[in-house]
Amino acid sequence: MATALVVEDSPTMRQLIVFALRRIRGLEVLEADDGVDALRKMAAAKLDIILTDINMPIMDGLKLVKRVRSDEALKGIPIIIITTEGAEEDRQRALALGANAYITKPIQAPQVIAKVKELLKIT
Amino acid sequence: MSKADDKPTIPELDLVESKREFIETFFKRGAEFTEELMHENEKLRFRVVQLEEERRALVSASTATDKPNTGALRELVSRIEQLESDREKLLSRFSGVERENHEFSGRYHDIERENNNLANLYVASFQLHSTLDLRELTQIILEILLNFVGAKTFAIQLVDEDHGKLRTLATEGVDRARVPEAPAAEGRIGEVIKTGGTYIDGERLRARADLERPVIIVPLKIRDKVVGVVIIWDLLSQKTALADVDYELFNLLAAHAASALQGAWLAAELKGRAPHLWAAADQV
Repeated sequence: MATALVVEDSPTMRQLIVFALRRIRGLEVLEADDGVDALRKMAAAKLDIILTDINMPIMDGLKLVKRVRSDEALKGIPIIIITTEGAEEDRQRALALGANAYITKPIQAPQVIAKVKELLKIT
Repeated sequence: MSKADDKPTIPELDLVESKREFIETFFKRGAEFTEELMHENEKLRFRVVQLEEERRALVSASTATDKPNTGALRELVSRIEQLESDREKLLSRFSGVERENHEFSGRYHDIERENNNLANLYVASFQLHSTLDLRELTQIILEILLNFVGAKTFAIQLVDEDHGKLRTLATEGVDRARVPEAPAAEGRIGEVIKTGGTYIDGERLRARADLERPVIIVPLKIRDKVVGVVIIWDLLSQKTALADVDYELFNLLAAHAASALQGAWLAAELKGRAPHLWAAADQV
């Protein structure tokens, strides 16, 4: 069974993403409010994929990507950014930091599901 | 001539004898030769008969072997025709299946889209009724507009009936102080308040925010009475058009947001924290 972590400060948006991910059979979904909360969850559970917002209090999504990519034990985890920031430079910055995919809001659940399956190599 | 003359002399006798022998030998050899010819002729006739029989046998054999070849050929042709017919049927079935597959694929995508829309509406509805805290509820409405609809610059305004104008409850993408608080009975907003119908300027969906020209105005209603509006001035850059689910979300907000806000205000009032809606709004 694979485990995904959804990092999003908006409970409404988080619930929508979790709702979508629960449609992937065998995927356990954990939730975090921000980057710091996410790091705490990562210390406690083995993760297979992270979906994170960018604009969050305490630690934003880009800082979280940097932290994960600089951690020997975590750096291999695929990261999907889900954000309202639609500018191309924002996308390039996130990908340059090590994000694997960049999805803009408003999300389409099938798009998120397909990307998660692709990165987890689930058919 | 004398008798003596009639009698053959010895040499003459020898000659006669010799001629007779010659003739006898000649005829004898002729007979032998004839016999040989007849024998040879007989042999040739036999051979001719023999060859004739062989030819007949060969012709017969050839005819005998030709018959099965023709049959096999006919069978093969028939089989080819059958296979051609099967192939045509299979091709026809294949295109039928392909057409069905295409239809199923279209239906699958429709269902996926519908599923996605329902998920959005379910989560939005669930969240709208998940709290009686005015600040939290307002935040939820803002999140729905930002994350689900893709609005970038927008405000929630409520009708202040005492003063006949709109008052701002919350904003996103713009300072609250900058948002015009228009009279409740004038202009586009006044029309939306009067009719209760959503206003959408379809030609300016990709325009930059102009606080004097809303792109979308959604009425917030309790039953048929409009008690407030959501005003959207522009959308996120990646949001280039409205989808079916956006209209459904506008309907959902129109029907549920106002009553949820009213419920939150009443709850605050009951707790003695907000004697007046505007006092509660100022907390947001």
